[in-house]
Amino acid sequence: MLSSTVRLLMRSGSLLRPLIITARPLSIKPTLINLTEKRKTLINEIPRRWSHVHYTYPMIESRVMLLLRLFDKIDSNSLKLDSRFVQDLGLDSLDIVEITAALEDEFWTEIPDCDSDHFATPRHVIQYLCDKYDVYEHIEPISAGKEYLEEAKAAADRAHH
Amino acid sequence: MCKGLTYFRVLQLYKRIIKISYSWQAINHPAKTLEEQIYIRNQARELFRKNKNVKDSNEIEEHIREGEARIELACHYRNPYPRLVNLPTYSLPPNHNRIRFRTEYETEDMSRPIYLKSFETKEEILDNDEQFKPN
Repeated sequence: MLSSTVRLLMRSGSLLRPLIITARPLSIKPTLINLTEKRKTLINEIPRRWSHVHYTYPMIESRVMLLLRLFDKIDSNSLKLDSRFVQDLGLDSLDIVEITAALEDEFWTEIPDCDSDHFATPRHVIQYLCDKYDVYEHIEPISAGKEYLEEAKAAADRAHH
Repeated sequence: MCKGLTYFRVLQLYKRIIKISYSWQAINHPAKTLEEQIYIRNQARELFRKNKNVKDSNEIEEHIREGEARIELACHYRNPYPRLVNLPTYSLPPNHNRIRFRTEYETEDMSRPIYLKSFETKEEILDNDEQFKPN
């Protein structure tokens, strides 16, 4: 279960919310949230993907690690990128469902059960979210190395002779 | 863990309850919204973990029905707490002085509604001495 401080932290990002009004599917009933003192807006009007926010790998990683640290069943000292949920941190499949629900709430996206079942480490979670938001700056590109060029040359020579 | 269809159904139910708790607004008692949200999450945690080791597939089905019944009742009446029921006819409340027959326990088990399936009847055990102590 997440503590109420998580809710405050997430809502504090709402002060920079733009006035883009996009139609959101009515999956939840509209509720009133106090964004500023003077203005109230319906939850349906809040944009789903924040077009002014640039998703980067460090941003996703820090948000996910913060969310996991605030989960009260996880010992924040022993939490690393590669610590496995079930074996090392002693979590349950129900706990993973709770974490997934919190992630859905944080990133304003849906994560189906068939995907969340395969979450084993925080690294998997971050990689999944990077795939969802098309973030690939942390991946080293497979460049055409010297060996490949030599082989290609050799193959071309064989073909011509 | 064998991932049958009921496994995913149970997880889906749990996730649904948590999602409801995030967007829960207590209409009857507006000041207690957060309290009720926390109550929903804690109840779900407790009861799901209590019934984690149930193996019989009929029992699991009944528990899923219990979860869905509680969701529907909570959403309809805007009250997440379980509805209390009276004792069945021709039965008396448990008391340490009286011997309670097995059929009384059985009728009480049978007459309890589905949404109270996970709750056990607790008997209050009072010592004879405590009753006569001066306050």
